[in-house]
Amino acid sequence: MQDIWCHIHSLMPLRDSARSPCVSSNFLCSWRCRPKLTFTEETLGLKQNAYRKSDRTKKFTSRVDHILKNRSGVGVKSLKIAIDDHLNVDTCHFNSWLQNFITPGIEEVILFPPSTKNKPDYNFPCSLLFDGRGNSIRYLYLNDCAFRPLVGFNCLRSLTKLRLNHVLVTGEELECLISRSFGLEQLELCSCMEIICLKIPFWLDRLSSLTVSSCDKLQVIESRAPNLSTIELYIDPVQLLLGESSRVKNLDLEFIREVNCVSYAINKLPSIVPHLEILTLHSGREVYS
Amino acid sequence: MVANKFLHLKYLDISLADDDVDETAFGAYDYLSLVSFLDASPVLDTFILSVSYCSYYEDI
Repeated sequence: MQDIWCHIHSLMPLRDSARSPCVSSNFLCSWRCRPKLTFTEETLGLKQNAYRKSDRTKKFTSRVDHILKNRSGVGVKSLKIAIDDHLNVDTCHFNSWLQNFITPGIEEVILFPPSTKNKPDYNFPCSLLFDGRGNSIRYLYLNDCAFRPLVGFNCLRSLTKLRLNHVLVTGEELECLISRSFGLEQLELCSCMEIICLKIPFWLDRLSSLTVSSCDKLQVIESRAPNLSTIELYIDPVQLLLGESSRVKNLDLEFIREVNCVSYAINKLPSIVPHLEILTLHSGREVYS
Repeated sequence: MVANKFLHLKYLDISLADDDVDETAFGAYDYLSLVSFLDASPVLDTFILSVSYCSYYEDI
Protein backbone atom coordinates (compact mmCIF):
# COMPACT_ATOMS: atom_id res chain seq x y z
CA MET A 1 0.00 0.00 0.00
CA GLN A 2 2.83 2.35 0.93
CA ASP A 3 4.39 1.75 -2.47
CA ILE A 4 1.17 2.88 -4.14
CA TRP A 5 1.07 6.05 -2.05
CA CYS A 6 4.70 6.72 -2.89
CA HIS A 7 3.95 6.27 -6.57
CA ILE A 8 0.98 8.64 -6.39
CA HIS A 9 3.17 11.17 -4.60
CA SER A 10 5.77 10.93 -7.32
CA LEU A 11 3.09 11.97 -9.83
CA MET A 12 1.83 14.91 -7.80
CA PRO A 13 3.20 18.46 -8.05
CA LEU A 14 5.82 19.18 -5.41
CA ARG A 15 3.63 21.61 -3.46
CA ASP A 16 0.65 19.26 -3.29
CA SER A 17 2.90 16.43 -2.23
CA ALA A 18 4.43 18.58 0.52
CA ARG A 19 1.00 19.70 1.77
CA SER A 20 -0.51 16.22 1.87
CA PRO A 21 0.83 15.33 5.37
CA CYS A 22 -1.57 17.99 6.69
CA VAL A 23 -4.39 15.61 5.73
CA SER A 24 -2.90 12.42 7.09
CA SER A 25 0.33 11.68 8.92
CA ASN A 26 0.59 8.56 6.75
CA PHE A 27 1.44 10.84 3.86
CA LEU A 28 4.47 12.19 5.66
CA CYS A 29 6.44 9.07 4.85
CA SER A 30 5.34 9.21 1.20
CA TRP A 31 6.46 12.82 1.00
CA ARG A 32 9.77 12.04 2.60
CA CYS A 33 10.55 9.26 0.16
CA ARG A 34 9.34 11.21 -2.88
CA PRO A 35 11.83 10.30 -5.62
CA LYS A 36 11.42 13.39 -7.77
CA LEU A 37 12.40 16.81 -6.48
CA THR A 38 12.00 19.88 -8.69
CA PHE A 39 12.99 23.18 -7.18
CA THR A 40 11.98 26.16 -9.28
CA GLU A 41 10.29 29.40 -8.33
CA GLU A 42 7.07 27.93 -9.63
CA THR A 43 7.18 24.64 -7.71
CA LEU A 44 8.19 26.50 -4.55
CA GLY A 45 5.17 28.76 -4.90
CA LEU A 46 7.06 31.97 -5.64
CA LYS A 47 5.69 32.77 -9.07
CA GLN A 48 2.21 33.92 -8.30
CA ASN A 49 3.11 35.72 -5.10
CA ALA A 50 4.19 39.31 -5.21
CA TYR A 51 7.48 38.98 -3.32
CA ARG A 52 10.13 41.56 -3.84
CA LYS A 53 13.22 40.31 -5.65
CA SER A 54 15.41 40.31 -2.56
CA ASP A 55 12.73 38.39 -0.68
CA ARG A 56 12.43 35.85 -3.47
CA THR A 57 16.02 34.71 -2.95
CA LYS A 58 15.43 34.34 0.79
CA LYS A 59 12.17 32.47 0.26
CA PHE A 60 13.69 30.16 -2.36
CA THR A 61 16.63 29.36 -0.09
CA SER A 62 14.61 28.88 3.06
CA ARG A 63 12.06 26.62 1.38
CA VAL A 64 14.69 24.31 -0.08
CA ASP A 65 16.53 24.31 3.26
CA HIS A 66 13.29 23.47 5.03
CA ILE A 67 12.61 20.53 2.71
CA LEU A 68 16.16 19.33 3.18
CA LYS A 69 15.78 19.54 6.96
CA ASN A 70 12.66 17.40 6.85
CA ARG A 71 13.97 14.69 4.59
CA SER A 72 17.40 13.43 3.66
CA GLY A 73 18.60 13.18 0.10
CA VAL A 74 18.39 9.41 0.25
CA GLY A 75 15.95 7.96 -2.26
CA VAL A 76 16.01 10.91 -4.65
CA LYS A 77 15.95 9.61 -8.22
CA SER A 78 15.43 12.87 -10.04
CA LEU A 79 16.67 16.30 -9.03
CA LYS A 80 16.04 19.56 -10.83
CA ILE A 81 17.14 22.89 -9.41
CA ALA A 82 16.60 25.97 -11.54
CA ILE A 83 17.83 29.28 -10.14
CA ASP A 84 16.56 32.13 -12.29
CA ASP A 85 19.02 34.88 -13.18
CA HIS A 86 17.36 37.46 -10.95
CA LEU A 87 17.84 35.32 -7.84
CA ASN A 88 21.02 35.81 -5.92
CA VAL A 89 21.43 32.40 -4.34
CA ASP A 90 24.82 31.85 -2.77
CA THR A 91 26.84 29.19 -4.60
CA CYS A 92 28.02 27.62 -1.32
CA HIS A 93 24.38 27.20 -0.40
CA PHE A 94 23.64 25.71 -3.81
CA ASN A 95 26.55 23.29 -3.42
CA SER A 96 25.30 22.18 -0.03
CA TRP A 97 21.95 21.26 -1.60
CA LEU A 98 23.73 19.23 -4.27
CA GLN A 99 25.90 17.62 -1.63
CA ASN A 100 22.78 16.41 0.15
CA PHE A 101 20.58 15.46 -2.78
CA ILE A 102 23.09 13.83 -5.12
CA THR A 103 23.36 10.47 -3.43
CA PRO A 104 23.99 6.94 -4.74
CA GLY A 105 20.92 5.84 -6.69
CA ILE A 106 20.09 9.19 -8.25
CA GLU A 107 19.32 8.85 -11.95
CA GLU A 108 18.53 12.31 -13.26
CA VAL A 109 20.19 15.65 -12.47
CA ILE A 110 19.10 18.90 -14.13
CA LEU A 111 20.79 22.07 -12.93
CA PHE A 112 20.44 25.75 -13.72
CA PRO A 113 22.93 27.12 -11.18
CA PRO A 114 23.08 30.67 -9.85
CA SER A 115 24.67 33.03 -12.36
CA THR A 116 25.55 36.70 -12.42
CA LYS A 117 25.04 38.88 -15.46
CA ASN A 118 24.69 35.80 -17.65
CA LYS A 119 28.35 35.01 -17.16
CA PRO A 120 28.81 31.36 -16.32
CA ASP A 121 30.95 31.77 -13.26
CA TYR A 122 29.64 28.85 -11.26
CA ASN A 123 32.11 26.04 -11.07
CA PHE A 124 30.40 22.65 -10.82
CA PRO A 125 32.39 20.67 -8.24
CA CYS A 126 33.28 17.29 -9.76
CA SER A 127 33.74 16.01 -6.21
CA LEU A 128 29.93 15.93 -5.91
CA LEU A 129 30.03 12.91 -8.19
CA PHE A 130 32.78 11.04 -6.35
CA ASP A 131 32.35 7.98 -4.13
CA GLY A 132 29.76 6.35 -6.39
CA ARG A 133 27.32 9.25 -6.13
CA GLY A 134 27.46 9.96 -9.87
CA ASN A 135 27.59 6.40 -11.08
CA SER A 136 23.81 5.89 -11.10
CA ILE A 137 23.12 9.09 -13.06
CA ARG A 138 21.57 8.30 -16.43
CA TYR A 139 20.64 11.82 -17.52
CA LEU A 140 22.78 14.87 -16.74
CA TYR A 141 21.76 18.32 -17.95
CA LEU A 142 24.04 21.16 -16.91
CA ASN A 143 23.57 24.85 -17.71
CA ASP A 144 25.65 27.99 -17.22
CA CYS A 145 28.68 26.67 -15.40
CA ALA A 146 32.26 25.51 -15.72
CA PHE A 147 32.78 21.76 -15.56
CA ARG A 148 36.38 20.61 -15.29
CA PRO A 149 36.71 16.83 -15.05
CA LEU A 150 40.31 15.64 -14.80
CA VAL A 151 42.06 12.81 -16.61
CA GLY A 152 40.88 9.51 -15.14
CA PHE A 153 37.40 10.87 -14.32
CA ASN A 154 35.21 7.83 -13.93
CA CYS A 155 32.14 8.98 -12.08
CA LEU A 156 29.33 8.77 -14.64
CA ARG A 157 29.35 5.12 -15.59
CA SER A 158 25.58 4.80 -16.15
CA LEU A 159 25.19 7.96 -18.19
CA THR A 160 22.95 7.54 -21.24
CA LYS A 161 22.14 11.17 -22.01
CA LEU A 162 24.33 14.23 -21.53
CA ARG A 163 23.27 17.81 -22.27
CA LEU A 164 25.60 20.75 -21.72
CA ASN A 165 24.32 24.26 -22.32
CA HIS A 166 26.58 27.30 -21.87
CA VAL A 167 29.12 25.12 -20.12
CA LEU A 168 32.81 25.99 -20.01
CA VAL A 169 34.50 22.72 -20.81
CA THR A 170 37.37 22.05 -23.21
CA GLY A 171 37.38 19.27 -25.77
CA GLU A 172 39.91 17.34 -23.68
CA GLU A 173 37.83 17.72 -20.53
CA LEU A 174 34.71 16.58 -22.35
CA GLU A 175 36.61 13.53 -23.58
CA CYS A 176 37.57 12.74 -19.98
CA LEU A 177 33.93 13.17 -19.01
CA ILE A 178 32.42 10.80 -21.55
CA SER A 179 35.19 8.31 -22.19
CA ARG A 180 34.12 6.01 -19.33
CA SER A 181 30.39 6.46 -19.94
CA PHE A 182 30.11 3.32 -22.03
CA GLY A 183 26.31 3.44 -22.19
CA LEU A 184 26.09 6.98 -23.56
CA GLU A 185 23.35 7.21 -26.19
CA GLN A 186 22.76 10.93 -26.66
CA LEU A 187 25.15 13.86 -26.50
CA GLU A 188 23.95 17.44 -26.84
CA LEU A 189 26.23 20.47 -26.69
CA CYS A 190 24.99 24.03 -26.92
CA SER A 191 27.09 27.19 -26.62
CA CYS A 192 30.09 25.39 -25.15
CA MET A 193 32.55 28.05 -26.22
CA GLU A 194 35.79 26.39 -25.16
CA ILE A 195 35.48 23.30 -27.33
CA ILE A 196 37.73 23.49 -30.38
CA CYS A 197 38.01 19.80 -31.16
CA LEU A 198 35.30 17.32 -30.21
CA LYS A 199 36.56 13.75 -30.15
CA ILE A 200 34.27 10.80 -29.55
CA PRO A 201 36.05 7.48 -28.97
CA PHE A 202 35.13 4.27 -30.79
CA TRP A 203 34.16 2.39 -27.66
CA LEU A 204 31.06 4.54 -27.16
CA ASP A 205 29.20 2.02 -29.26
CA ARG A 206 25.74 2.93 -27.96
CA LEU A 207 25.99 6.55 -28.96
CA SER A 208 23.36 7.15 -31.61
CA SER A 209 22.61 10.86 -31.46
CA LEU A 210 24.85 13.94 -31.48
CA THR A 211 23.56 17.53 -31.42
CA VAL A 212 25.91 20.50 -31.52
CA SER A 213 24.69 24.08 -31.65
CA SER A 214 26.28 27.51 -31.32
CA CYS A 215 29.70 26.23 -30.25
CA ASP A 216 31.53 29.09 -31.94
CA LYS A 217 35.11 27.93 -31.42
CA LEU A 218 34.52 24.41 -32.69
CA GLN A 219 36.70 23.47 -35.67
CA VAL A 220 36.72 19.68 -35.73
CA ILE A 221 34.24 16.94 -34.89
CA GLU A 222 35.90 13.55 -34.94
CA SER A 223 33.67 10.63 -34.10
CA ARG A 224 34.68 6.98 -34.11
CA ALA A 225 31.44 5.91 -32.42
CA PRO A 226 30.35 3.04 -34.65
CA ASN A 227 26.58 3.39 -34.24
CA LEU A 228 26.22 7.14 -34.43
CA SER A 229 23.24 7.49 -36.74
CA THR A 230 21.79 10.97 -36.16
CA ILE A 231 23.69 14.24 -36.20
CA GLU A 232 22.20 17.70 -35.78
CA LEU A 233 24.55 20.62 -36.39
CA TYR A 234 23.60 24.26 -35.91
CA ILE A 235 27.07 25.69 -36.22
CA ASP A 236 29.31 27.08 -38.90
CA PRO A 237 31.09 24.54 -41.10
CA VAL A 238 33.62 22.38 -39.27
CA GLN A 239 35.83 19.54 -40.28
CA LEU A 240 33.68 16.44 -39.92
CA LEU A 241 35.71 13.26 -39.48
CA LEU A 242 33.40 10.30 -39.18
CA GLY A 243 35.55 7.47 -40.49
CA GLU A 244 34.93 5.23 -43.44
CA SER A 245 32.54 3.00 -41.54
CA SER A 246 30.29 5.91 -40.60
CA ARG A 247 26.68 4.85 -40.14
CA VAL A 248 25.24 8.32 -40.01
CA LYS A 249 21.84 8.12 -41.69
CA ASN A 250 20.14 11.26 -40.52
CA LEU A 251 21.69 14.73 -40.73
CA ASP A 252 20.15 18.09 -39.86
CA LEU A 253 22.31 21.05 -40.84
CA GLU A 254 22.13 24.80 -40.42
CA PHE A 255 24.94 27.35 -40.46
CA ILE A 256 24.92 30.09 -37.86
CA ARG A 257 26.86 32.82 -39.64
CA GLU A 258 28.22 31.33 -42.80
CA VAL A 259 26.23 31.28 -46.03
CA ASN A 260 25.75 28.59 -48.69
CA CYS A 261 24.63 25.70 -46.52
CA VAL A 262 22.90 24.07 -49.49
CA SER A 263 25.97 24.40 -51.71
CA TYR A 264 28.14 22.95 -48.95
CA ALA A 265 25.80 20.00 -48.62
CA ILE A 266 25.84 19.02 -52.27
CA ASN A 267 29.58 19.47 -52.63
CA LYS A 268 30.96 18.08 -49.37
CA LEU A 269 28.48 15.75 -47.72
CA PRO A 270 28.42 12.79 -50.15
CA SER A 271 31.99 11.86 -49.21
CA ILE A 272 31.63 12.67 -45.48
CA VAL A 273 28.32 10.85 -44.84
CA PRO A 274 28.05 8.27 -47.63
CA HIS A 275 25.21 6.32 -45.98
CA LEU A 276 22.93 9.29 -45.47
CA GLU A 277 19.21 8.49 -45.81
CA ILE A 278 17.58 11.62 -44.39
CA LEU A 279 18.96 15.12 -44.94
CA THR A 280 17.40 18.31 -43.62
CA LEU A 281 18.94 21.65 -44.55
CA HIS A 282 18.09 25.12 -43.30
CA SER A 283 19.68 27.96 -45.19
CA GLY A 284 19.33 31.66 -44.52
CA ARG A 285 21.36 32.78 -47.50
CA GLU A 286 22.80 31.27 -50.65
CA VAL A 287 25.35 33.33 -52.53
CA TYR A 288 27.48 32.22 -55.43
CA SER A 289 30.89 33.75 -55.63
CA MET B 1 31.96 9.01 -58.94
CA VAL B 2 30.49 7.41 -55.84
CA ALA B 3 31.86 10.19 -53.61
CA ASN B 4 29.70 12.71 -55.46
CA LYS B 5 26.42 10.93 -54.88
CA PHE B 6 24.03 10.33 -52.04
CA LEU B 7 23.51 6.69 -52.93
CA HIS B 8 21.15 6.00 -50.01
CA LEU B 9 19.35 9.31 -49.62
CA LYS B 10 15.60 8.79 -49.41
CA TYR B 11 14.36 11.97 -47.79
CA LEU B 12 15.53 15.50 -48.51
CA ASP B 13 14.06 18.55 -46.84
CA ILE B 14 15.48 21.96 -47.76
CA SER B 15 14.15 25.13 -46.25
CA LEU B 16 15.31 28.47 -47.56
CA ALA B 17 14.31 31.29 -45.26
CA ASP B 18 16.01 34.51 -44.39
CA ASP B 19 15.52 35.61 -40.80
CA ASP B 20 15.83 39.30 -41.55
CA VAL B 21 14.41 41.53 -44.21
CA ASP B 22 17.23 40.92 -46.64
CA GLU B 23 16.30 41.00 -50.28
CA THR B 24 19.76 39.77 -51.28
CA ALA B 25 19.61 36.52 -49.29
CA PHE B 26 18.20 34.51 -52.19
CA GLY B 27 17.87 37.31 -54.72
CA ALA B 28 20.43 35.84 -57.10
CA TYR B 29 19.84 32.22 -56.17
CA ASP B 30 19.28 29.82 -59.01
CA TYR B 31 16.65 27.48 -57.62
CA LEU B 32 17.10 25.18 -60.55
CA SER B 33 20.59 24.40 -59.24
CA LEU B 34 18.82 22.21 -56.68
CA VAL B 35 18.34 19.73 -59.50
CA SER B 36 21.92 18.64 -58.80
CA PHE B 37 20.59 17.12 -55.55
CA LEU B 38 18.08 15.07 -57.53
CA ASP B 39 20.78 13.96 -59.94
CA ALA B 40 22.97 12.91 -57.03
CA SER B 41 20.23 10.97 -55.21
CA PRO B 42 19.15 7.94 -57.24
CA VAL B 43 16.83 6.43 -54.57
CA LEU B 44 15.24 9.66 -53.32
CA ASP B 45 11.54 9.23 -52.63
CA THR B 46 10.68 12.46 -50.79
CA PHE B 47 11.82 15.96 -51.67
CA ILE B 48 10.48 18.91 -49.73
CA LEU B 49 11.46 22.46 -50.63
CA SER B 50 10.22 25.23 -48.38
CA VAL B 51 10.79 28.81 -49.41
CA SER B 52 9.57 31.59 -47.19
CA TYR B 53 9.73 35.19 -48.12
CA CYS B 54 8.99 38.51 -46.52
CA SER B 55 5.78 40.40 -47.12
CA TYR B 56 8.17 42.99 -48.54
CA TYR B 57 8.02 41.13 -51.80
CA GLU B 58 4.29 40.91 -52.07
CA ASP B 59 3.94 44.38 -53.51
CA ILE B 60 6.49 43.80 -56.19
